Amino acid sequence: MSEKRYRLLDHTADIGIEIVENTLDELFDSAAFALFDIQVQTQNVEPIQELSVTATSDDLVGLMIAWLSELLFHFESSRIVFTQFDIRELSETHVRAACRGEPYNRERHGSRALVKGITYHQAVVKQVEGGWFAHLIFDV
Amino acid sequence: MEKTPLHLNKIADYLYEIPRTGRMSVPGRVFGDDRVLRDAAEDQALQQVANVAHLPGIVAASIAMPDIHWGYGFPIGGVAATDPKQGGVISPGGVGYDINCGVRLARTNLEESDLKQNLQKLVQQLFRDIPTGVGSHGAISKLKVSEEKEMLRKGSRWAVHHGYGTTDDIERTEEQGCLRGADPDAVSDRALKRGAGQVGTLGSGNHFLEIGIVDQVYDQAAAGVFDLHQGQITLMIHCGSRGFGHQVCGDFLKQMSRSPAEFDLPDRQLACARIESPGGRQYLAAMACAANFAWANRQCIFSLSRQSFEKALSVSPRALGMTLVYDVCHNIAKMEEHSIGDIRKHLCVHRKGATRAFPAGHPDVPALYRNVGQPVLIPGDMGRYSFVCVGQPKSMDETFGSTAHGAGRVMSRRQAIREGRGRRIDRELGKRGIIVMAAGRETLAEEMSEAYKDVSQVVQIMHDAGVAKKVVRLRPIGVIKG
Repeated sequence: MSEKRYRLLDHTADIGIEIVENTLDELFDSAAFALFDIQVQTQNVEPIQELSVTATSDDLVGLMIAWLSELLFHFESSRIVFTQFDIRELSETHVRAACRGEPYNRERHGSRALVKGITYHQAVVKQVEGGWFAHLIFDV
Repeated sequence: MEKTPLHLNKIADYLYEIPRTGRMSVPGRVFGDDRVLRDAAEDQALQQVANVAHLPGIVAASIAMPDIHWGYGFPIGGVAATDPKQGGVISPGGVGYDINCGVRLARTNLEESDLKQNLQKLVQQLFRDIPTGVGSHGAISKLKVSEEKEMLRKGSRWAVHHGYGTTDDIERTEEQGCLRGADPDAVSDRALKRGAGQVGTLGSGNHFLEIGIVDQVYDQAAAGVFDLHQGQITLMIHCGSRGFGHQVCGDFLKQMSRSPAEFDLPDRQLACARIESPGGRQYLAAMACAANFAWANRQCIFSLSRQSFEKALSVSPRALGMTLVYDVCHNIAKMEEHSIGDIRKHLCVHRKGATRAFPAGHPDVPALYRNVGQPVLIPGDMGRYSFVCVGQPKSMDETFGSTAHGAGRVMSRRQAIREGRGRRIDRELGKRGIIVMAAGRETLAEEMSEAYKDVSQVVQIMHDAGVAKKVVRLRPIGVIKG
């Protein structure tokens, strides 16, 4: 299930992840999934609510960070846990996606590690042979 | 990331220097012993000390405390002072996402025997009354925007005005619980929305609420001034500015995202702005709002906890006698007066996982503690102990009035969860007389004692270095985690 979509890395204080996907769309999708999977029991989330989320930045690394930061904002302000991300538009500087999930419920979704922010420290988003690669560190 | 070759020279007992190389403006200085240096060399913490030395306008040295470990941008345990008159910068990464994450300690009239029958009940009551973990909210009513802005301007004073605590608490809080220059107009609507329902909540990770016992007194005189004595029950609270501060940090890192290229910095997370620039001033005004959010938050949690004690133990406020010893922040940047040689300078001191440790006589130490120095609160891990220290004169010469902030991790969270597999950390602690409740079971594994350095070694180094002297040791008996 979940950990197939991202790999957790050893970082002394925080949480590092690595993702490899075939396409950039899938990379953004899996990074978003990882952000929620680190925080809650994603297998118990029903995709019953939808929200359109957009993010912009100057470059691809900045865009990935802006995208995940935007999702984190919606999670904490609207208390909706998302697990499905239908990437509708994606360029080097802009992303728009339909995000599906449901209101957070402690009993069903549990409490794992609370992500405070998506850091730029050693952040990588790049094309590799046969696909795309991301390396990200979350402050927890 | 730039790899500067790192050679450390011992320059004094417990003090090592990373000489200036390449584009470093100043050397790096690490407080520690062989063990600290060995641990720090295993990850990228020492490299981060060298990276911070590249910041424009940094003065004297990029400094690290003995609880140094790998962070993002700055190392955790990092201290850096920048001079606005020399083009010095303010770096949101040098404060961290959890702006004004900090610790407060309260003393009580209770002794261990008073809790024998009721400890479990008390821990459960605290766990019910203080929301913890992912998605925690609702400790107090969600604030309207106008109310939230008022809270951001006033910090602890806002909480006291709304019935959470007393004016005595304010006197016993760093900066009287309100950083000057807070301007809610400098903050995004997103930060306001994210924080509106989170006042009075603990969060997750290493944040905690801990019932402890004073189990060793090292300095009777200072302990007496802090109203602490052997066998006494205490309460320690560790948390920060929640989603509000996290959003402020993220917003400004994005706003300053072009600065690492502009200033030729080795890490994008060191994004910064000159203090004397519109962007720098705006961040300082927003950061002060987040600092005040954190103080209002800890003030509310403290007040709610006091009620939990009264309820669970059926004691009157007078019999409980729970009063604040002190409240410190350990993720912050502040404009402070310091001497560089014979010259007094107004500097921006970044403390990223470091605690202010002003000595006796300093005007910023509350009047009731001014003869002994500022109380310094250094939590350890949930299975061992925490310390109360007191700032010493050498802190002003060596560390811009700063010391360590905690034990420092040695194990990654992932490694700790792996080690914790098949173990019940709560039961193991229970057998040792420590009752623990957490919102998530993984948190207990992440936060197990073995994941941290022994805080007593960290504290001893700063004690021996003459920066912060040991006053008392606290042993945990009840812990609430996120």
